[in-house]
Amino acid sequence: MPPTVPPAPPDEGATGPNDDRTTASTTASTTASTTASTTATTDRPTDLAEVWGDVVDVRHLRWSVIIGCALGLPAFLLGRLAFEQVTSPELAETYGLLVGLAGCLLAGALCARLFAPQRDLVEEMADGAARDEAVAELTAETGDLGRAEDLGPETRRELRDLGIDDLFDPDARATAEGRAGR
Amino acid sequence: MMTTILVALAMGLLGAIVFSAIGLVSGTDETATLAPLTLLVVLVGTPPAGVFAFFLAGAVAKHITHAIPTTLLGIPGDTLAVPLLREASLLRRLGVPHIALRKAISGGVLAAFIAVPVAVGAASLIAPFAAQVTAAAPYVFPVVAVLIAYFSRGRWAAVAGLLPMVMVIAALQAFVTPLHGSALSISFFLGIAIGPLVADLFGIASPTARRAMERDARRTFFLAPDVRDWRGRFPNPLRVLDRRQAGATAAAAGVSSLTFVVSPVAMTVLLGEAVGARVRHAYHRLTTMMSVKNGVTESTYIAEAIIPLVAIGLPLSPVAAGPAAPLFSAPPVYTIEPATGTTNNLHDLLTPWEFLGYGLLAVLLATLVAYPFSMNHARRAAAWVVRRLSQEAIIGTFAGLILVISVYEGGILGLLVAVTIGIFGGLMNKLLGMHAGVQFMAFYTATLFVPVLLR
Repeated sequence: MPPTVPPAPPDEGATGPNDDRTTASTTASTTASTTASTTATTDRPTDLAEVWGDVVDVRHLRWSVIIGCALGLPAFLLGRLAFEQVTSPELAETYGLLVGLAGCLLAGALCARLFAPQRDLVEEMADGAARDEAVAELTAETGDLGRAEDLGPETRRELRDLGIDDLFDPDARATAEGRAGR
Repeated sequence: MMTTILVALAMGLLGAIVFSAIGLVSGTDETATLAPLTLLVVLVGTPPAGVFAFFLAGAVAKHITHAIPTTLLGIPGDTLAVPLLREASLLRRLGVPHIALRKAISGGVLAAFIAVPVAVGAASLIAPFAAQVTAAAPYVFPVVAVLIAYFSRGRWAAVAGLLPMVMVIAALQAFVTPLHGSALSISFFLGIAIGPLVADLFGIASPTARRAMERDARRTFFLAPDVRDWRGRFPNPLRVLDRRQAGATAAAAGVSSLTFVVSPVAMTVLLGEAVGARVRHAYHRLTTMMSVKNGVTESTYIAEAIIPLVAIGLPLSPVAAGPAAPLFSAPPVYTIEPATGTTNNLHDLLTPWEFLGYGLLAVLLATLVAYPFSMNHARRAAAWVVRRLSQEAIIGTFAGLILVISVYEGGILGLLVAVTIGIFGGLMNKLLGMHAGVQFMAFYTATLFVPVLLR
């Protein structure tokens, strides 16, 4: 990706508009799809973005951060205040920290209930084509797959139990392909 | 004595359970999760044995469960799992993803049990030279910082980036110390660990930066098909591996436990390929590499945490300066004196024998919790996380944690430091590939070397 994030922190008011224009043109010129997505933003029902390595709904993210901070910090401050009444200030700090942690975890649980993940799960089925592709890739790597004689009895049994011993046996593969056209 | 063991047992169990769960969430960064929570454990006054058991059990458990997204979803559970992706993907396409998972975690468990004693042994060989290293500490850090920076993704850019990073940290430190009355360190630390998140949160608030982050569609995960053929509750790692695999994994783990400067990923690639080249049969090569590579990652990681900790007491490896950093420095509980380089941390509070004993206990606890869980419930757990645990909730929790811990250390000043270092370090990380380990070394350089320079 081109540096669409300006390398300087956004506090340079004078160069701000300039930065804006360059970034916009880079985005537009690099990929057509990016431009398309920008125009589609207006009527898109959700507001998706990748943050910290995963896709989130930005509106949900905003609330999550607010909830996390709003439960965590007061929990810590009030916890500390409460413990100061009954114990030494140092210990009160520590217990306050634990109450704060509990607040954060509570916030996390609440957000997990409120906001569903922006992910789709596809359960794959066993796929013969993918198998053959993998075998081809392995063959290309060293020229051959190796022979069953290279294997110890445990590994031979393992392959048989998994039902993929045929895949690694050139003769069996040839006949199987001839028979089923796999 | 008895209470200490009980505390270690309880904390180890807690670490194993918490990080077994965190490992399931793909992409959760090691430093961003392990460091802040270990820090919290130190700050609340847990005895040294408990802290060490929590950290190590957490790390080992996370490494076991992060193999689940790696093998079943095809996305690395952590940056550490990246070298395993190719073999994992091939085994998955062959229709045996569960084999990839089992070989990987069995290799990891075997390696963890080997790494702890070997690393403690290696540390006692280095220990006689510790006094010299400690005496030279202020000068050691800039040298190690340059080395770690060069071996990061950023190469020379990361090396050059050390200068501004050290400047920013030293300047901020000089600014906040008189105002706060004492130097801050946890807030700097948190800012570095969580930097990429802070940078992303700023980015999403900026109309310009946001354009690069926007996505059209939800993210799709492909879960490998279910293969049910496991019976029983507690599997034996040595039965999952065949004799050659166990031997190769043990040997590779033994060798890699002796080193502590090469990053785990580099070591994994190196030794994994070396072993792989000797296995002729394609299937056997895949499964052997799965086991050896994951084993080497585990043993290098453990060695990098344990050797500097036991031998020297200064965080002189990528792991020690990153996820394990709170074991070395977590003021006011654990400290490294800027002027002399003298330490008061786990290094001084536990003997090598205690490191060995509690280390093995931690590995055992992590294995008891995470290993059978991963063997029996991997697929269901992976599906649950993808469907139910939103990234939004995870970010909300961590945002709250940064706020609470930084305010705990330094009030408003602590928060400002965490956010400033977060945005700066996060951008350095994202743009230059200068990872958190390099930035931690910059922090130590700024607090230990710069004062010597100015004297």
